[in-house]
Amino acid sequence: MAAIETNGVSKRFDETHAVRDVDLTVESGEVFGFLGPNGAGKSTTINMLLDFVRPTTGAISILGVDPQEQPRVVRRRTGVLPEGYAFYDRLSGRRHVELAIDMYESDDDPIAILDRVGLTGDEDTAVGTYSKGMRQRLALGIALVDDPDLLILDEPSSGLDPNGIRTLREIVREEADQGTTVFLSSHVLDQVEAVCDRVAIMNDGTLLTVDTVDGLRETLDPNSTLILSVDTVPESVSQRLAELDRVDAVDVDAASTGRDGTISITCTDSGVKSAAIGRVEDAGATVTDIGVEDSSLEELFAAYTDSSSDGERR
Amino acid sequence: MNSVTAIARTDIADVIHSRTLWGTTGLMTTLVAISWLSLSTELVEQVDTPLLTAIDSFGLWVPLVAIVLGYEAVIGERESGRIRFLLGLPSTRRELIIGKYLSRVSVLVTALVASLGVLAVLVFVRVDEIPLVPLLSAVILLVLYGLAWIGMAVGVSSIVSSKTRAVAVVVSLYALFGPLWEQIVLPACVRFVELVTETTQSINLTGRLTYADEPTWFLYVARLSPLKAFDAARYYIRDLLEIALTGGQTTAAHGPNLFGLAVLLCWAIMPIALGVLFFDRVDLE
Repeated sequence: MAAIETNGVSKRFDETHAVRDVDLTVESGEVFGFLGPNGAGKSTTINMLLDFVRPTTGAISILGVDPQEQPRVVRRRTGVLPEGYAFYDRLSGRRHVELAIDMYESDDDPIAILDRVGLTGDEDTAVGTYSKGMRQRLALGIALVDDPDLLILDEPSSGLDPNGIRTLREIVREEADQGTTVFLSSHVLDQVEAVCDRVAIMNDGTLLTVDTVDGLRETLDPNSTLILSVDTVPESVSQRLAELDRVDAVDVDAASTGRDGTISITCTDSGVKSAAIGRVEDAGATVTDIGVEDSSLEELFAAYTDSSSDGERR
Repeated sequence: MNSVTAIARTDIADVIHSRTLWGTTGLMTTLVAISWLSLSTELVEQVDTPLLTAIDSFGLWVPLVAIVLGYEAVIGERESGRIRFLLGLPSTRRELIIGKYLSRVSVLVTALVASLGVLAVLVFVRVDEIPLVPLLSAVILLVLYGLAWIGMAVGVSSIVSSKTRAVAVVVSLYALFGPLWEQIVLPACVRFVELVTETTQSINLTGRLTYADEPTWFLYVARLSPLKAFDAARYYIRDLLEIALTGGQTTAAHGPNLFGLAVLLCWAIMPIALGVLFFDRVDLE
C-alpha cells in the first residue's frame, strides 16, 4: 500500500488554480522529496494532505485512509511538522511534547524526545524565549512522538543552522532505516538531494516530474564537465577535442594561447573523459589537475522550472 | 475525548497566565462591589433578597469578561498558526473547538465564583445573613449566564475570519442585547405591535421582568436578550429552588420565565454548534 496517494487533486481559490490535477504516489518506506519554488502550489498540496485545506476535486489517501473522513486515524499514525505553526509562548518545550504524547496516547519519554532533537537543557524554558531554530527542533521532536509510520515534514530545514540541518538529516535517515516513510518538502535542494530516494518537482500548481535524484540528472542534463588545468594550452587542442564523438563543448580559458590555463570539456558521456585527457596530452600539454563538475540539482531545478514557465508563456 | 481534555488542559495552563483576563475579572469584581456598596441603606432594608439585588450588576460585566476570554479562542489560534500545531496532532477540528470551549468555560466559572464569593462576603458584612437558597441560585444563574456569553464569543470566534471581526461581532451583540435592546429594539417592537393590532400597549420597559404582567408577547420577546433573561431569571431560579427544597410558592408566570432559561441555554449551545459546523468546512491556510 502506498503511504501517500493523490488522484487528480486540484484546488481552486476563487479564480486562481493553486493546484492542478496532481497525481502523486509515495511508496511505503521511501524518503520522498517535494520540491518547488515558493508559490508553486507546494504548500497548498501539503495542506491538502494534512486536511488543513480541502481539494476542489480529486481524492487523497494517506496510509490507505481519506484524511478528510478519518482525520484522527491518519494523525495517529502520522508525525507532522507543518509550516507556519506557532506554539504556546508561555509554556515550556517539555509541556508541548507532553501534550503531543497525551494526544497520541503514547508512553514516550518527553526528555528523550527533546534530547534527540538537541534541546537538552532547554526542556523547562518557556518556548517564547526559544530561537527560530529551537522552535523548529521542538516541532521536529513533536513530529517524532509515538514513532509514526509516516513523517510529513514541511520545509523542515527552515530556520535551522548547519548543526540543526545535520541533526535533521540524521533523524530522517534513522527513521527511514526503521521503515518510516518520510515526505519532506523544501525549496533548498541540496538537503533533499542528500536524503531522498525520489523527488517530485512542482511549479505553477502542476507536478512537473517525479524521479530519483540520479534519474532526474540523467533525463534533464546528463552532461558532466571535465576541467583540466594545463601548463600550456596548445593551439590545436579545441579542434582535436571537438573531433571526439561524445564531447559537446570545449571552453579554453588562458591569458593567451601557449600559456597555462584551464580547458573545460563538456562530455555527454563520462566514458569519454579519459580519451579527452589523452588528446590534450597528445597536443603537447601537461595536465596538472583534473576536476569534474556534475550538474547540481539546483541547475536542473532551474532548468526545469524555467522551461515550464516558458511553456506557460507560449 | 482524550484530545478534548488534553487541548482544554493545555489551554487552561496558557490562559491563566493572561493578565487581561485577571484584570477584567478584578475590574468586574470591583464594579459589582461598588454597585452594592453604593446602594442606600433604606433600599437595602426594603429588598427581599439582598444577595440577588447585589448580583444585578453582574448582568452588565459578565459579558465583558466572557468576551475578553472567548473572542480569540479559535480565530486567535488560526491567526497565530497554533492551530496547525494542534491539528497536526491526533485531534479533529470539532475536538479543538470543544476543548477550547471547555477550557474557557472552566476559567470563566472559576472567575465568576471567585467574584461572587467576594460579593457574598460584602453582602454578609452589610445585612448579616446569607441564606443558602439565594446563594445557590446566584451560582446557578451566573454559571448559566456566563455559559451563554462564552458560547457566543467562542462560537463567533470559530466562524469569523479575523480577530478584528470577532471583536466587532461580539461587541455588536453586546450593544444589541444591552443598551440597544432597551432603548431601540423593545420600543420599536411595542410601536410595531401597536400599529398592527391598533391598540395601546402599556409597558414598563425597566420593571422587574420575573413577575411582570405585561402583555405575553412582550414577556417572551424581551427575554430573547441574554441580559433580560438574566435579569428575569434572578428571582425565578430562587423561586424554583425554594419550591423544590423548602416547599415555597411563586407568583411568577412559568411560560415566559422557563423560556428565558431556555434562551440562556440556547446562547450557550447554539453558537458553538454553528461554529463546529462551519469550522469543519473551512480551509485553514
